[in-house]
Amino acid sequence: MGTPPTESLAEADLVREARQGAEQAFLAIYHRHRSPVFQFAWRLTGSQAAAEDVTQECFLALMRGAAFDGARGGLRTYLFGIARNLVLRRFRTSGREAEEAADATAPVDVLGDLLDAERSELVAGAMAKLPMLQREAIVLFTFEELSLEEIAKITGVDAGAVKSRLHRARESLRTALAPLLTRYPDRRCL
Amino acid sequence: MREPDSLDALLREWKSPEPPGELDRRVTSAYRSAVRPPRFSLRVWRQFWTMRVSLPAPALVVAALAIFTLFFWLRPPAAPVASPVTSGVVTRLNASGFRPLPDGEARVVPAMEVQK
Repeated sequence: MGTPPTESLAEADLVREARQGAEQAFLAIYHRHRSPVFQFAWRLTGSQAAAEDVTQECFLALMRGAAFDGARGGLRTYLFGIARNLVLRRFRTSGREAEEAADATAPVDVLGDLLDAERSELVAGAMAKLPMLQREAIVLFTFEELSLEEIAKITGVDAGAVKSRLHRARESLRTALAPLLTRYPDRRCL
Repeated sequence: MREPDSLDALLREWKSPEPPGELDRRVTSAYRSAVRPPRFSLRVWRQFWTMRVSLPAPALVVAALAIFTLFFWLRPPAAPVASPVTSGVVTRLNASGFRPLPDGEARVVPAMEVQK
């Protein structure tokens, strides 16, 4: 799932040109990565406005920040790392707890919610109850399909810690979404 | 770790929106404010100093030979070296019997007359 090295090096050239004022190079980078970055931020924050702010800050940070080294990994991984730090900073300033979320494994009121909400919203609710570090791990693994090593690089921990967070997140989600998982056992998608 | 199961399938039903078009305008505008392109003259100099020229080796050899030939062709000729005079000129340094002219008048005397 990682970016091929030659593509990373080409992207490193684009980043360098964009930093020197080449708008076309910047737009090429932006249009290639804006959706994954935005969706990642949206899944972590649960807010459209916050995701937009994080996406904008993320690309500007890339233009202003330390040199991106294409030989050390893909630009997408690098951008996820920036976006993740921006989200954590927002949580810190807004006073939300990043590591511990209260009542993380409490089941969602599935039967009640099913009447007026789609499964998507129920999953979003269960995800929102996860601690931030578990949420980012499962978002990167399940939705962005990154490897354990890539997630470890983004989050600054080793692959073992990522695996542990993923395991705990999946257990919490399995508990929280148990009614949905058992209600339709015949459906392959569930 | 990557085997899909019912939980993965359920999680993937959580759809996220696409970034709005307004965000593109915001980001582009912020980029323009943050990263100003360098002045034209600076850009030209930067391009000049980082420019690379690829040249086939035979063309490089021909160019080097042409420069070498031109260098010798256009070189100014060497200045003539003055050879020592070997004719019968005698220089006398003996000043005995020298008397200053009484009236300070100079007179040119031919060499034949002096020898006599």
